[in-house]
Amino acid sequence: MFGLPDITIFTVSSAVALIVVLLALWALRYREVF
Amino acid sequence: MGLEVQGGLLMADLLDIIIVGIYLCALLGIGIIASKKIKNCDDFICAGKSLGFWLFTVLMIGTVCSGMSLLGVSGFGYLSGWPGIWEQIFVPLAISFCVIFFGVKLQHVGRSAGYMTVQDYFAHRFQSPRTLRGLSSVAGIIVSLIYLAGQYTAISIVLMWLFEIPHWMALLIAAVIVTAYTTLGGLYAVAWTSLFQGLLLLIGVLIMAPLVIMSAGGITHVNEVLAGIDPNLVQPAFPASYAAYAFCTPEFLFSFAILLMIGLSCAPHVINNVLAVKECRYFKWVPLVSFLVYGLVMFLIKFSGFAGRAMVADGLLSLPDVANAQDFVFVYAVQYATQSVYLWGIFAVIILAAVMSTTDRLMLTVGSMFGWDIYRNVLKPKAKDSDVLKISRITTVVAAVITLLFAINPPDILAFLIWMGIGVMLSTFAVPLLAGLYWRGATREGAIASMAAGLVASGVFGYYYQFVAKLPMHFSIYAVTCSFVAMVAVSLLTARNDATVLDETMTGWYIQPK
Repeated sequence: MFGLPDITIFTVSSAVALIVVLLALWALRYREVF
Repeated sequence: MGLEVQGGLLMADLLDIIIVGIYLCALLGIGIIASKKIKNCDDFICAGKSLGFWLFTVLMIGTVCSGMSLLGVSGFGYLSGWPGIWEQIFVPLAISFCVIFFGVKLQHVGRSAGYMTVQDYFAHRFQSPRTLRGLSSVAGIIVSLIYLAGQYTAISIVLMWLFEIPHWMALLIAAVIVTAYTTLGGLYAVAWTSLFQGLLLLIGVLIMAPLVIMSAGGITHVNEVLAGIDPNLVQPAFPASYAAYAFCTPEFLFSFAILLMIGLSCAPHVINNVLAVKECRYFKWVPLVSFLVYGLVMFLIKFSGFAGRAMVADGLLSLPDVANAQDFVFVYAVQYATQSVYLWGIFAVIILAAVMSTTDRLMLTVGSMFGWDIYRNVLKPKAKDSDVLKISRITTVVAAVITLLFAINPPDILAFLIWMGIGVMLSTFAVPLLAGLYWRGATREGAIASMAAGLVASGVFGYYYQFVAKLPMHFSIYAVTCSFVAMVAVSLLTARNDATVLDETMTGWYIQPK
């Protein structure tokens, strides 16, 4: 896809997806009052 | 300017001057308006701890997004291809890391203890009101000044390219404007101008980058051309360091992740921003929002670098015959893609916006570290608030003059020092900060030893890496290891800090207490 090897597409997109999920989890679990 | 559009050149020059002139006047105007809000040191250094969600988010992005974010990122993309894409993930993550691992605790403790700078935290947590505060301030000022000289160099590249004016004149114009609004309006001016400049940057890159990629024949064609030059340019990492450009091997990328994510996040000019936030609830979404917004901008700029490489290979573009010619690829690719000289002024403003937003924050950081940490807390503890404010402002101007002199007449070692910048920040500040916040066993002596070991080791390994032999990983990873060993060894051998202070500073293995 896009002239790239599958390994590049897979590695980069899964890294971005993982980070987005982790940061979303942070937001959802953040307690606003200490 | 590089292209031969003779007919419209004079008109375009005038238009470029007007566009850049309006932009610079707007910055100055914001500085003058912000100056009305400056009543004391807290206003100047921390914007009265009043930054809202978007002001804080964009300030963080603007602070991290330096001059090299546009020129260097696309240049790096040109040189290294896809193995260099990880930079676009690690750099935006620096903001998320800073907010989550430093910001939550520092903002909470800082609000009750009245912190103005991260040195206040060091002095409090390690019960070292003078030694550690002084050492970390001096280290912070030196690193910030070096980093600042690099920013001024980037500003001068843009102004010289656009107006064909001498190097010194370009530097002087930029320095006068940025110094004026920073000195007048402190962090208020820095944050407000960052919002203005961040919007310019976002809109500009969203328009320019797709134009460049389309002019190169689309992303698929660009990748095919890269693969034709070297098949490893479209791989996620280089298998080995077989050429000068193939340094992004898996082990190097690991060290690169630590360097960019943690090194940038603990830099004084970045971490001090978390002390200026109005409410800690903003920390909920800032990590994700900043990653998505900044990541999008950075990916587009990197793709422009790839596109520039394809354009050069296809014979559409040729870069100037100068050292580090790849850093000009974004400028030349935009020139080719837009063809219209009228857009160049806007483009110059976009690059200047990226550079200025880091430059002003660095200058303010130097001013506040000297005025607040050295003058008020080490040299003259009984100084009046108005005197501290005056000294902070004077130091901001002095910082501009010193770096300007360096940038106008750069010594041979300057390029090396700028290259060392983030590595030194990582080696010096990361371990004392992380250990201070999360390990109750970290002691004052451990923090001093760790900071000193990191500073010295980064000089030794940096010199070795650059002038003797390449190492498998970035030099800073070895220096930060020395800093870590020094922290653990010395802390275990010395007496712990008071439990009361450890409780006050929320020291322990948690981000938010249960």
